[in-house]
Amino acid sequence: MTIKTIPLPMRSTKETREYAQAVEKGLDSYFVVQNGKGWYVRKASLRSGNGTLFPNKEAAVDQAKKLSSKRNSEYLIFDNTGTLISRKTNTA
Amino acid sequence: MAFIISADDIKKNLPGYDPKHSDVLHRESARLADKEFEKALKSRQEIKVILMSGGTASGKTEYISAYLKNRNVIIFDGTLPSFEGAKIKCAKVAKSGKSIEVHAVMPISLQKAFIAFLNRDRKFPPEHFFRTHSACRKTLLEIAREMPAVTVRVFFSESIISKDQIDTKFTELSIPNRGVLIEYLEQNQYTENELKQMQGLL
Repeated sequence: MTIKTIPLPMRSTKETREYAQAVEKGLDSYFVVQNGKGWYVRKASLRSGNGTLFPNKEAAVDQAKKLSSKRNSEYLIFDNTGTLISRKTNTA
Repeated sequence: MAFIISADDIKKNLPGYDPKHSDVLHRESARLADKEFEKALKSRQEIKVILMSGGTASGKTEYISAYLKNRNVIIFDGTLPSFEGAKIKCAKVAKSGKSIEVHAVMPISLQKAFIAFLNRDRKFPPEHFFRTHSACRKTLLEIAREMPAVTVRVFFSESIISKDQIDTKFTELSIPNRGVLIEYLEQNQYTENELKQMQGLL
């Protein structure tokens, strides 16, 4: 199905800017995700499927810590049901 | 100025509110918002009501601030999570003699919406994101199918992040007829697990 969209005139408000700022802030964070094969680490801004696989949680968290530290961001750890188990800010 | 009823705003004035645990008072604030909505239908002079629809962090509040805030309407700023709830609200609006529209806001990128959700001040567990984005789409499709008298408009939110600009822009889905709307909504239904898979969480 081809959809047609009509652009609305750009109207900048405190809310529209803050929303985009929240996205910008989170683009540099890292997700540590458990799945059937092991633990993945991927940057939040990357598409799912892109990431590095680690054999265990500790190795994945170490990597996420290093990467988030370089970017002054945070990492979020999800279990295999998609539940957020913890989030840490740049603790390396 | 629009008269805006928002469970999220009501919550901020409840004792014990903590934005880090925004889910805790959600049931109570939703109940109070429904009560305030009923009161507004009886007492307010505005002749038009807009029910917002859209998952959490889809850009509803941002859309309202940019395009509806200065209009002479009553706005119910919620996710519209159930068809039953929507039917009750529509019936009450009809009884009040006011007209009704549903404005749905959908993010162009669910990935970016999830990132916004995780990084804004109000914090909910991620399940809230998946539940509301799945439920509101189902409700909207049911409204489109079962309530032909209710005008439904669909808007898309998109965050722009560049060197020169950090902001959110909106576009509107062109809906030449109800069939197009229903077809679009049918093709954009997601279960909670599908949404989790899209985020690479399953």
